[in-house]
Amino acid sequence: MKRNITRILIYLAVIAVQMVVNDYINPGPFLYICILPMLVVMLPLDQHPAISMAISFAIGLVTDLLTDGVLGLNAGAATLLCAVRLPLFRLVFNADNYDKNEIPSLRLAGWRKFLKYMFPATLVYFAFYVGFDGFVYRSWLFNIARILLCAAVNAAIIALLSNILLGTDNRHSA
Amino acid sequence: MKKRSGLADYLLIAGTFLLLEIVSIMMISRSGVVQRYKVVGAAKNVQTIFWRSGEKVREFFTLGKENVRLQQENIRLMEELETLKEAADGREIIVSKDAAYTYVPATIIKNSTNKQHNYIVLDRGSRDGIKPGMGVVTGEGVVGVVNSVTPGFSYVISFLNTSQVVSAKLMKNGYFGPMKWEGGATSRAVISEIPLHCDAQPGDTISTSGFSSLYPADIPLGTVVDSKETSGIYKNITVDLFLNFRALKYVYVVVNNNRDELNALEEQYR
Repeated sequence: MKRNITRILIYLAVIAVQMVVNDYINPGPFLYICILPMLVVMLPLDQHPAISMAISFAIGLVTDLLTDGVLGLNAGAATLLCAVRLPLFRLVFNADNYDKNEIPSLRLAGWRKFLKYMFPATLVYFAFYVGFDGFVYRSWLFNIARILLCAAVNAAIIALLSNILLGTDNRHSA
Repeated sequence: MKKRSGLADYLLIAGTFLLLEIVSIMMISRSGVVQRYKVVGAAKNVQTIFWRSGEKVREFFTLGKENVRLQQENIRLMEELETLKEAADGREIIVSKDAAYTYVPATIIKNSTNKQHNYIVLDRGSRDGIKPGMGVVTGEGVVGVVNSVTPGFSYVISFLNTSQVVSAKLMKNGYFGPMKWEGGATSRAVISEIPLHCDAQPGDTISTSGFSSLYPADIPLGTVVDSKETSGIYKNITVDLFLNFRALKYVYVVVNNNRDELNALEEQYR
């Protein structure tokens, strides 16, 4: 119970941080700092995927509503990431990690393995986000560069943030 | 962990995924600030308090730059006045009481420049006579178009937005075309559909053409950086914008006093 409350508080804190980042941090048009993928990969692995997708969609939609972006961009990207996170987890981590229902984090996996998981995850997220944000208006080179830059920078930020927020708590409550 | 199997389960997962993605894409295609502000109007009102406070802090630290900019604008206006005085020497100037454009000064309380769809929030709204569809400018260029208004605020689609186009012309020869932000540097834009034979040299001044009811003609926008042939008939001109969107604070909302008449005329030929 206590662990669930902590997790809900972490979710609310991350959404609040995302709002502040959107309002006051301006790294330019190439880079969108978005830490929402962290919340999606933090969802319990043994939860029914349909429920996880609905939660991811809701997290994305709340962020879209509270920040001045295009409505549906984060919601769609979070849903897509949620759909691919299990196959991705199985590719990078072993069956033991999956059976223990562990949350992937820097402390659990180490830099190399965690980024091997997080970079493709953010890549999927930003492929959707950048794609629908203006693929038809911009050159493909600009969009590819934007997807790669966003994925790399945000994967690194999420790695650091997960290390701070998750601490040693690497297991989802049953 | 329990294993999942069964066709019904897979269908449920696939169905949920498809449904949520379709809903997202539908929202993206219809997205506008209007719907959002209707959905979370109360939350946005709270946010504007924070934006205002944030802007005050930013303003404190950028006052020096703002003073320099205002000084330069003053000098430019004085020079313009002198030129007009000289031109009017010995002649009577007829000043129309019914000017085509009037301006409502406004202050920016929220400005995003790091997205592909950027928005600006102004501290003036319908109470001050601002309506959706009005242009927003400064002495250094075009800022955007008012998208929606509340009694106290206006939500402006910035020029730094994929959907914004401004009709721009080369001041020296009058050739014009649509000018758009390309999504990269906030100080660069591109004018397309310029005929190949048009002479555009680096440093030439670009201004608004006046061929729209949004902005008056001859507002300086920037200078030519280079030009490139695109389709065999046209060339694109890269423009270095005068306006620094990252340091934008005070703007003017353009009220076109003939807009209703122009719209009525356009409606007749539709």
